[in-house]
Amino acid sequence: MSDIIIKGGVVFDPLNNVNGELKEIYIKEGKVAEEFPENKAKVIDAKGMTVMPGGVDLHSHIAGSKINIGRLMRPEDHRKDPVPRSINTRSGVGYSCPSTFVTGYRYAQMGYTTVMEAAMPPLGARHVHEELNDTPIIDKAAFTLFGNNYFVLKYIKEGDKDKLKAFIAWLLRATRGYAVKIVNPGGVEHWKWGRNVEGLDTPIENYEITPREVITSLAESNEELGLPHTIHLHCNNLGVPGNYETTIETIDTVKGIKPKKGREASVHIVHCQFNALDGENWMKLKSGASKISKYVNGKSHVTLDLGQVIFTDTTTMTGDGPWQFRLWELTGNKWVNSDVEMEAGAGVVPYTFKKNNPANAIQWAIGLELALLIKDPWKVYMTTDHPNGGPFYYYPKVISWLMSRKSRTETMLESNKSCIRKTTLDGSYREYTFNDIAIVTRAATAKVLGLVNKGHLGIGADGDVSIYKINPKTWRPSKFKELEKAFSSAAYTIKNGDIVVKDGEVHSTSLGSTFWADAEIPEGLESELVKELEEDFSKYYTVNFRNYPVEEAYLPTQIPVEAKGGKW
Amino acid sequence: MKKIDVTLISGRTTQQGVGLEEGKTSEAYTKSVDYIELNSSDAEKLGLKEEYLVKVSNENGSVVLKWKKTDGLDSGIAFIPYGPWANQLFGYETESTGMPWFKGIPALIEGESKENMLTLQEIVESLRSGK
Amino acid sequence: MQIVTDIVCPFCGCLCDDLEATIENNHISKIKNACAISRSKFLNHSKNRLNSPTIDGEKVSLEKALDAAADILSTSRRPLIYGLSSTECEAIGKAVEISELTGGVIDNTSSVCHGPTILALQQVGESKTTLGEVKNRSDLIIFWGSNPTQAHLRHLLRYSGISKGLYTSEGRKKRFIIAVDIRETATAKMADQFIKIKPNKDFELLQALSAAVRGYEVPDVAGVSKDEIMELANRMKNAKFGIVFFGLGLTQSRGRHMNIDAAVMLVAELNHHTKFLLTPMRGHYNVAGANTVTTWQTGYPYAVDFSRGYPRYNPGEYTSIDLLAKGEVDAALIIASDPVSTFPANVVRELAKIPVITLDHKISPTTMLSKVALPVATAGIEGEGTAYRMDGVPLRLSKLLEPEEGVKTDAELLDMIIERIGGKR
Repeated sequence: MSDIIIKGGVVFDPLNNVNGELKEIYIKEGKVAEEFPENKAKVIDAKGMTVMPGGVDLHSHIAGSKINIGRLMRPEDHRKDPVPRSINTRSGVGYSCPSTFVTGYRYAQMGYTTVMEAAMPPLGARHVHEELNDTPIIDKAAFTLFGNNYFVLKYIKEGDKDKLKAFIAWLLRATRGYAVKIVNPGGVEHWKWGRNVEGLDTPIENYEITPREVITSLAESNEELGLPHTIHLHCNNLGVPGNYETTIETIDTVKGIKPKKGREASVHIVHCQFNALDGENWMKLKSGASKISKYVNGKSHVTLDLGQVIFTDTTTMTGDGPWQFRLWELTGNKWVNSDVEMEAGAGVVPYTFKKNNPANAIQWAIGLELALLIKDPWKVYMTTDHPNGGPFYYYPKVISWLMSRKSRTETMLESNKSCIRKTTLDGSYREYTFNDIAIVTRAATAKVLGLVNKGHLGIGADGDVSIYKINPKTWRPSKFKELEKAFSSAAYTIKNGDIVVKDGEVHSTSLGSTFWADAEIPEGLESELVKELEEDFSKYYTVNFRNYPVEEAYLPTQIPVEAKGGKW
Repeated sequence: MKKIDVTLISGRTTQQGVGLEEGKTSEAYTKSVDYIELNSSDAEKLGLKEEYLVKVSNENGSVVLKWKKTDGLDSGIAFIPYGPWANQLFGYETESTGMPWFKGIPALIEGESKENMLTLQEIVESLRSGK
Repeated sequence: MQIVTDIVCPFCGCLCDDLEATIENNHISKIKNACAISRSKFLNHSKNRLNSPTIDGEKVSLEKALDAAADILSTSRRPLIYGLSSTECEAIGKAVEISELTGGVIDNTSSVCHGPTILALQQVGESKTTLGEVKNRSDLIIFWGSNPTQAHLRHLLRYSGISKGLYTSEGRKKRFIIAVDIRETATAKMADQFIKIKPNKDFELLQALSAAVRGYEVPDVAGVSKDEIMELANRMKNAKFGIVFFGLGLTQSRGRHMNIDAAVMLVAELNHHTKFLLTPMRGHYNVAGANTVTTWQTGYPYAVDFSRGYPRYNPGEYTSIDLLAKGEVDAALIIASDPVSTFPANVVRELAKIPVITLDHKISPTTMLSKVALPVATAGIEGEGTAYRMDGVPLRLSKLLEPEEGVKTDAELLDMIIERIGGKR
């Protein structure tokens, strides 16, 4: 940790209204600081370069049993991308299911400094944290799965709001999770009997409640607890043509929930592309992106991320067990299913997105459509739902599609004409600016996550900065290949005031911190809750209650984020 | 000397587990892995008496062991608990799977062996010297 | 005197976590809820311990032994690092690091256990679950080539046959248990149905079942009558929640991974009709951990070669048996395992030709054959760490006692070796 001065760069810091200013950035003792004299500070000459806060990826599958199943299952994928060790770095493998060391290095090489693991089954929390502890450089957090949890369903069925809130707070602490993740609510519970739900109002067997009630109850509890992030929701009917209707209905169903003080949103919809399909079936597929965008443009209570498709061979993995089974039926590719007692499920199936496949071409267009049709970049974030849509190393490609109509036209013309005929993509002339990119990959994501020291370069922010070798003052959208190259390999990535990457090479690999949400529970309520949990654990779980919460040993560097203003 | 051909399998037993946790050099462990289980009609064919030792051999090697009668085994199938005695009979061929053929290989059993059964120490020494 | 509860047992893949120990004078005097084997592990933990570091059987100081070990590893051209299924995850990570540093091969006991299951997963997948779902929902349980009454003693009680759960309050009464095996084991005796199969014919029977599930007529196969096959297929289709637990009967007989492949495809097919799953009965308490850690760090589960500076995977070439049989490794570091007892004898003869370093808590044929032997604290009794249950659930092992003076954990010793090697390469 040294003092750093970044001079001469073009700075984008949307949260502080800095839009392409020539500005110096001062970092002292790991934090962004006031101006100080040069003296012994390391001076970085960023002339002609783009300077942004370190990237914040709010949805990626990088640690835990699901991604590890992906790794286990796909030796053929690894062979495409072996990573030799170097003086500073361990060896490993890349491509769609990178090993943990490589994950940390490659995110840092692209200028990302914070990544969220999108789905953590509570029973496997230790596994997630062990892998995060082997993921170097980046700061991270993991979202705990709640949407098909026995206790959640039970307390909603009983109408016990206080116990539900207490359970959420308790489970976040027990798993050291950061947010409430919901995947196909009700559907994964049904999958335990080999079935699914059809939509928001299918009654969930043995609970007599509906997915709609699960979502609204969790959203309400989430806001009343004052958790740093909104609910993080993977909608019902993922992958089903026509599902854009379910998605709009889902977003609409929480519009009445009062968000906690300081935010307008009460729900974040994940990898929306997969839930933005229109058409009766896969043969008649068309884009539902414009319908969703129209709805989202008129509302302020929702945010979403893209789940952008990349034309490559990748690995799908979600907590949506029945959907993954369906994908096996559709493709015949190898399929691993992994149910977790009382809590969750998962499935992993390799998949190749092909340019000449009419459905894939439409899906590719949908992700970009959502980004281009939704007017407010503070609402829509860039992800590929790594590795579902494609590996995260393709983010620079997505950036080039967003910032350059020429870039996306080139890809459109290489792809099946369905992307032109069945979507509105061709009609969009919008091109994202550097400021827009800074918003959708850092500023907005940090903000919606409630990470107050990330995603910006104001005084006191964490000293996480990325510097790219591209001059925003002279760049033109026709030079999209140059743009891709610049964003693929940061000139500098600075993490907590340490230069961790220089010219795309990793220089230092210390471990980042793990964030988790620390919400208060009234004492009497907590002891009542624990008693009830213990009883059900002994009857229905196969681990003892006392062995369930994650021990301190799994969090060598943790940062609890207090959830303030809990209402009881 | 009476002989029969069998299909040989090896596997775990509770006693073997109990013994190995005491230690591989314990008597309990040796007692749990130094015998072959045979069907009673096969034992009869071999003319075996309780105190006899038997010699089991195949293309991979041979071993002299105690024997026990078991119901549950069909005639022509024999079981040796997994361990240093059983392993004299398995080979290194894995057919590119990494896994030797541990269950269901052919072996020949000869009754009333006059040779001695090796102790664990002796087996280790013979392995060390490459014999 | 102290009573410790919720102890995780470090023996088999069941990883039971409800044990209770009475500790007096740094010694375990009583153990509750332990099966016979677990009881032996806890109550006998101090017997037959490796008393001191040795080189060629002679007692030496720890420093000398570590120097010798580091020397062997750093001068070898291609060492094999093997074992790992009976130690905790941090140690496993260090073993991977040593393999990378020395350009050697890292392999673990799944190579000779459920490696074929992994090969099948890499070919066709696997439809699995954590054990609580079996306890809570199963009405049909099939043990195929597996004998839990001898190898996973509390499995039936805690997770499967006899357990009672959320939708299975009547336990055993409402479950139908089938054992498929070549011999009538104790498991077969307690099952509702024993299907006796001819040795080495599991693949054929699994394929026939798949055909029957799809509605085709099948002949007698593998010594099982066509009526029995049709009946089993129908029973499987009509179960509410069925599961196949399979063991070494499938992985070690003729066909190896193809047997599992066939079982996986049968279960996948059944998912068109009802909820059906399968789960391998992992042997050692942390072999799943060995696979899990190696996979997240290198991308591959076992048989990982680092001779080119990056991980490469090729079962049949980089698996221990094959490496040793072909004389392709020139040193070995054995951690928490006894290959001299478990490998075929003519493979052990090859192992005996190269210098072997062993880390173990007790004397074993492998420590007897080693050039350097290092005593370790028993993981799960004298040292903490993570272990992964057969179904992938991670639990924390306890430290109940202090190890003997000067005795370190696997992770600590491996760290000391890494320090010494780091300087030499």
